[in-house]
Amino acid sequence: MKPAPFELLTPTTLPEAIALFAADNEAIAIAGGQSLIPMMNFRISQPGKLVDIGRIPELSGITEREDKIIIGATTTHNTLLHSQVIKQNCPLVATAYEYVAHHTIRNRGTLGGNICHADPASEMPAVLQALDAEFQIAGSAGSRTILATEFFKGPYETALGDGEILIAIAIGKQSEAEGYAFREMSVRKGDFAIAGVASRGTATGSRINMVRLAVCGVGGAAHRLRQVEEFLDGKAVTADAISEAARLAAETVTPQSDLAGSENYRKALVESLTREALQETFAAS
Amino acid sequence: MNKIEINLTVNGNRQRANVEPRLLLSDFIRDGLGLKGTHVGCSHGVCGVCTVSMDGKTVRSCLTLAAQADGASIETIEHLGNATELHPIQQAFSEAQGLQCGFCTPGMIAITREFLQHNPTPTREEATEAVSGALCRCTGYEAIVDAILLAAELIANTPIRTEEAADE
Amino acid sequence: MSNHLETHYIPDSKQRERPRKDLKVIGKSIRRVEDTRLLTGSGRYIDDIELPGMCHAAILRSPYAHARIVSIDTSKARELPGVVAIVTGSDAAKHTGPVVTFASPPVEQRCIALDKVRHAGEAVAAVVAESRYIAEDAIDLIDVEYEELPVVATIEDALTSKGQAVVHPERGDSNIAHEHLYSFGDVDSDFEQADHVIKRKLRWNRSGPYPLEYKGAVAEFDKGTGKFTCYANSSMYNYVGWLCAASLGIAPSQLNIKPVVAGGSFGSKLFNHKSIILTCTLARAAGRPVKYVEDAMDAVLNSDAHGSDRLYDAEIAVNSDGKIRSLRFDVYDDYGAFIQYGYGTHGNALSQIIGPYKIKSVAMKLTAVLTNKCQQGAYRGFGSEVMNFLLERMVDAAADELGIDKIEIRRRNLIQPDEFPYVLPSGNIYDSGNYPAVLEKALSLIDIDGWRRKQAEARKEGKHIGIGVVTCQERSVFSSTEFWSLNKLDTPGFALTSSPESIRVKIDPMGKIYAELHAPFWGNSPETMVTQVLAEQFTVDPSDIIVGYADTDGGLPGTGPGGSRFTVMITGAAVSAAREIKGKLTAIAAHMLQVAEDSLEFRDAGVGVTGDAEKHVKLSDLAMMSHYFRLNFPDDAEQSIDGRNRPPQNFSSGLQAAATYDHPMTTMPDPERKHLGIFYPIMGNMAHVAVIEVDPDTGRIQFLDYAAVHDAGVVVNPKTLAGHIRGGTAQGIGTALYEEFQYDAAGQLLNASLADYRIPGVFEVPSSFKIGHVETPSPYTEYGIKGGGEGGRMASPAVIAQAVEDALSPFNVLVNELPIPPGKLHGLINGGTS
Repeated sequence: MKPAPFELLTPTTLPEAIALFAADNEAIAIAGGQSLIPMMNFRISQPGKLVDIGRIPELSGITEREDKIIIGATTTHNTLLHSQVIKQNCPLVATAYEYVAHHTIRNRGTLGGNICHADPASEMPAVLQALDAEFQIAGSAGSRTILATEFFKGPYETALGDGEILIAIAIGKQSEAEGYAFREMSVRKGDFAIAGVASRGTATGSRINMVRLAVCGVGGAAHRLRQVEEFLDGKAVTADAISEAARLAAETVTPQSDLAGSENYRKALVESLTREALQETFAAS
Repeated sequence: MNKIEINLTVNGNRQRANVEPRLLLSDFIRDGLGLKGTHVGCSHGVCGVCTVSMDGKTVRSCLTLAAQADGASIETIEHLGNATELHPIQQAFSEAQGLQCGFCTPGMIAITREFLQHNPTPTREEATEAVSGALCRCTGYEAIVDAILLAAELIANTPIRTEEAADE
Repeated sequence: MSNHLETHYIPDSKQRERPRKDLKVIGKSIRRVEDTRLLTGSGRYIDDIELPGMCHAAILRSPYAHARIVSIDTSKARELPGVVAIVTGSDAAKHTGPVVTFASPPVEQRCIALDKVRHAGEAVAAVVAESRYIAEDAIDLIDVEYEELPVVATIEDALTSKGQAVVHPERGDSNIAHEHLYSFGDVDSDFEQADHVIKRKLRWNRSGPYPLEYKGAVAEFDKGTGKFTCYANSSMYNYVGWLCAASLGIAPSQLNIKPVVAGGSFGSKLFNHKSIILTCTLARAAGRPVKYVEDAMDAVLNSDAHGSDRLYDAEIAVNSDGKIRSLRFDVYDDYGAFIQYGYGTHGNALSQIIGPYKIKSVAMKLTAVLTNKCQQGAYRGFGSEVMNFLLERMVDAAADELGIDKIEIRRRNLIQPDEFPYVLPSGNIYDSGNYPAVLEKALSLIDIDGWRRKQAEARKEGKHIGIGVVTCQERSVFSSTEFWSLNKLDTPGFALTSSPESIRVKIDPMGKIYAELHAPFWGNSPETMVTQVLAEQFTVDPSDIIVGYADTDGGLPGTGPGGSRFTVMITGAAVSAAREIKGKLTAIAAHMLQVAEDSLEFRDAGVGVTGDAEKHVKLSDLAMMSHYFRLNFPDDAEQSIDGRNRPPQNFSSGLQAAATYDHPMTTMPDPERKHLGIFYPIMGNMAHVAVIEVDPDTGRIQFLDYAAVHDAGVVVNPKTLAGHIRGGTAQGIGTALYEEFQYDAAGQLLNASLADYRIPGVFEVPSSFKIGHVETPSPYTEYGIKGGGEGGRMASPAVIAQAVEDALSPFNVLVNELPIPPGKLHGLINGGTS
């Protein structure tokens, strides 16, 4: 279980990194390596060239702006989990982090790495879509911003083009009126999600005026449950509405069957997790 | 493949080496430096047996390239206590019988050390959560959690000097 | 007694040290002697061994489950810088024969596949290189042409497959390796006369010991002498080392196996013959020392260490009052591609097939099949844990059918304390026990009534709490007859009857004790056990005893840790050795003190006159005198001091003894196998209680409470035993809820990585886990000790199954198959729609 040989380059500035990726489309970025190195140890992944972007200062860190939080792509999970700025302004992220891997993995693993790896069972892709996050990408052709909801194309597949790297994740601050929740079912505590649901929303006079639901682990990439959001928009917060929304969520997902669970099981999980997540999100309403 | 020069500190000693990019930190520690106390288990980041401390944080050395440790300070089990004077954490593991075969033990001790540095007075629930990412096949875990709580007590009752001596 | 037992007899007890209350060290939870080196990272595990010039091996694993090897092209691999040697199956076969098997007729296995591969992951070639990294690079450069053969991946297929689908055609045109009915007592009439017969089909899927450290060896070949030195983490290196030598085509003494500290075994490292034979073969070919340590893929695909894989079709005959008359069942066992231990795991089941109950007749029809999977090995329980599961499920089914409480039905059937030694229909005996006391103690640790009330309350809220109580046996100290007694009479195979354990004890001139074992450490506590026994015998402080390990050159007959035998057996050997040395010490002290020998006792790290505090000589003085002051003592021919006729006393310089202790209570099977003789009589007993909650929405199970009471006879170190109970129970939880090696129809293992083969973590075991002890001494072992290392795993699957059924009774869920991970349990709850 040793990796195949590769070349390793360690740029210390962003332009340097971008130039390296431009020069070689096959080069792969590594930061924490917590997803990549296991695959390399199995020799499932045999990149010829790795570019370690973990030593580029501007790619790491949490910056608070007036209405949003900017997270550098190579900020580690634990930095985010323990950050007061995150807890106060993006509490859905902090809450979901309880389910992400384990402490020691989170010491090295980065949010950007996790997102770009795009494991369909990963929590953060769902959470960031529920938060309408935006990803800042840079490449030799310049920079661009892409919505989280457009970034995840399929299992392990993202919208990153050749030579592009993820620079930062921008999350709008959650308002104080928002409720939010993250629910997940895994075989053992801390395992990858069999299914996970991220939810946030606000209700005025117990009518829902904003709701975001995203699901992970269930057929393809993490994605928003827009049909369910549409259904809930404007509805009164009642047990029936929540149950119906949960039922609808189960209906709309197209889960896979695999070793962790059958299609029917995942649908059932989506229903109960959605119900619980919505109950918690709108508990105050 | 071109080798990369790395400069790092391991257990307080400066080390310089030329390593292949693909050399895993676990193998550098064990084979490059002859420090066999860090064990290699699954090599895919699940079991936690290879856990060491890098710049004060636990990392899985099988998921870290030696090259990525350039400039870092690594601490392994060899840095903590010795046969004639065990560190309180080691003492606690022995008293609580938090080990049987000993293979996961260096990793568990690294995790315990980091945990108690941040949370010197843990509850049982917190201590349980602390080892939730590492596997043990022998003990059934209860004695390990006992050991962590006992270690917290022993450290609290020990003069600060012992902790510092271990860091030298 | 039934007619079939008329040749059965129970020999007299050979016990010398009676169980007693005044023991000073045995029974104390002293700190483990092994700990310091392990805590400081100084345990020498196999991967820590480095020899000058050593190189590293990796194996090319077959991607196919069943295929002919048409050609192997190693040319590109050979050109890779750093490659030292490449060995294919036919290369290896020039000098290395098939490996160890207890199956008879034999089931041939090689360390590198020859001509055909029989399971995915089987070694097709081995590369030796300067580093493991380069070896793996070279593996990727080897081209193998395979001709795929039909794959047999299920029991059903194995029963009917023929021709090209036969895994071992040299044994005949069938994948049925063995088929036999073992019937003891009047089974048919017991069933006919029963008031009720309850049937059940059960499936126990294969999991595995999966220790965190894998198997390996480092071998060196001395060209000049033709001798191999091999370090290996093999538990039975002293027992099967000579068989590895045979595979290598050399005399036993041409292979010296050196034990190392092992990181867990639970049975997986019992033989570890392939590592030994492979590295020796490679060292001989490479001309340099070779290290091979399994990686995570080798350790599941090619490990020879999967657990039982059984299908049961069972029926239990009971009277209306709940008394069990008889049990009979068909069992199908998928052994995988080889059968290293013969049908020993079923012999094992027959050692305690009636559980703790007075069941007079049993019949087991065993069909062992070969398939294209990694072979089974030994896994904590060695087949009896499955038998316990079967029996407890049948008792539960009977209780349900009769409307009797599950605890009450057990009470009504328990063997009573005055009924020992108890002779089973199969011929084994239970040496001693107090099963009602164990059950009552377990029930005292958990407030069952309180939980029943909570269960009723919870049901109203749609929550599902379940309670389970099981009573099971945990046999200890196997006799080797279990490996062959199930073989057909015309092919008994190697019908060995020895399973000894030895020790060498020396007292040095300073009076410190050195004990040498001939079996290794893997997480059991052999040094601590021996230290406590010798400290007790010699009345010394445990810190004055050091324990070491002999290699096979220096090794006396030893079997090793397995079948919960080691503590009992090494204690027997230690007592023998101690007695011999104590005899000499007594004579020396008698001479020095000028008193009669029978006025002396051992106390306070020395020998003194009973009742006279002054007249005492320290062990250190006795030892120094013995080692270096021969002329202070009489010639051997002289009478001893009190003038009575005595055999010549041995005053030769030095204090040491070597002792070999054979199984203290075992007899031959009946020549016609009407019964199997006594083969596993040192019988422990346990009661486990589990309180769980099932979330019907997710299928997740949580433990709310747990208790385990084990009667392992006299306990040497309660704390180490408690550790084994917890660890064993955790493995049982894994078997019951999470662990299964899942093969598909093509014989591919789908969940080889630890991400998918899920071992319990800290959240998967009960956070409230009470342990109780009951000690019913054995009449046959020294001090009355019994083994207890395996037990936890042998009860937890059964109790969890019962508790889950109890929790989900509103849903009419039956747990007939393990494991039940959340997805599967959810499916059962929802009537199979998942």
